[in-house]
Amino acid sequence: MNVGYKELIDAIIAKQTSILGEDIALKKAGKVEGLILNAFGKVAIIEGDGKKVLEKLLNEYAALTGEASILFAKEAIAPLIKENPTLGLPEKLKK
Amino acid sequence: MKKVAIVLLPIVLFALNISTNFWKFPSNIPFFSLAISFLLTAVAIPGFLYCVILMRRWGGVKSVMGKGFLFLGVSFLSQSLSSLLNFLFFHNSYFPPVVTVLLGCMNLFWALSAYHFLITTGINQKARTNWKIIIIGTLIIGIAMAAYGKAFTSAPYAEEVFNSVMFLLDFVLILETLSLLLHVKNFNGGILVLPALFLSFGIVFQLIGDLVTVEVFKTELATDTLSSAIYNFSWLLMTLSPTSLLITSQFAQDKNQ
Repeated sequence: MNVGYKELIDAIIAKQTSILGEDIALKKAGKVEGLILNAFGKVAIIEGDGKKVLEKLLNEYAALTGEASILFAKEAIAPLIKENPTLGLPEKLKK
Repeated sequence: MKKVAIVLLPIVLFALNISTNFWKFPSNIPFFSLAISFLLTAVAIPGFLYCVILMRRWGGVKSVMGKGFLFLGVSFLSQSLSSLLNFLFFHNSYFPPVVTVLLGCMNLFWALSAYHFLITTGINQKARTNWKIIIIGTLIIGIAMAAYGKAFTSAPYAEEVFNSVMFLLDFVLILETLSLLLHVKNFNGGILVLPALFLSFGIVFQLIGDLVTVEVFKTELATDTLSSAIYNFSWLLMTLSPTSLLITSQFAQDKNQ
């Protein structure tokens, strides 16, 4: 599988759905500029720079659960990053 | 206006409950008896209602936060029922089995609620598994100790074993609460800081209340009024956990609309 920002964002949204519930997790993701979700809550289109969209998504979740949202995001994307280690990540996910 | 009412309701109930204890209204007069039993039951009801609202809003039983609020809500309900039963049928004189079971359930649901808050702080998988084992282990040992103490009343140390269950539960709860307090920093910048702090300190004050009621710590200061005030204050703190999240998340929604 070719892992890109779409897969990372899908994994993060799925993880946050399990923590915060579907309503809040999808509502927060829906507010991110450049991120369009389909009817199933999966990424349909990423407009513009995927890395920036990913960072905006992290900021939305951080407004609810702070640093914990970054820990969950790291946990969610860990297996995907192994498949594409060259993919550029926001600073927050590198630490 | 709605937000003010959400915050004021538990505070007013707390103040009324404290007043009935402080001025020692005579419970043998039907009106006061009814008022006191109503207040004892009502003090935990706002917490229960707020938890139900939050549970539904935060994904119900399918999400970690939803389950956390479900367990906290059930603990409020257990407290409410145990206070009502104790006052109406047992006149606060001793703890009959049904009230003891309800209080045991209340402790268990706190532990489960705090566990779900702990997960939300982002603790690693190993810590999650360890806490799960500790909670299940405490439950099994606690039930075994309580059963031994109650079923074999003539057995050696039966009463002591039964009384130790409370200390076992308190010990595990204090460890869990300390762990939650240590991890609350992970919520920095988010709206879950206050709910987690209120829950943690609410549990801490309940445990202080437990210590104050134990005979060995009885002093002139540790009167029934004081222990009742500590328990009531702990319920206020715990109620402020869902209250703070309810008004913050409402505010966040209003702001974004």
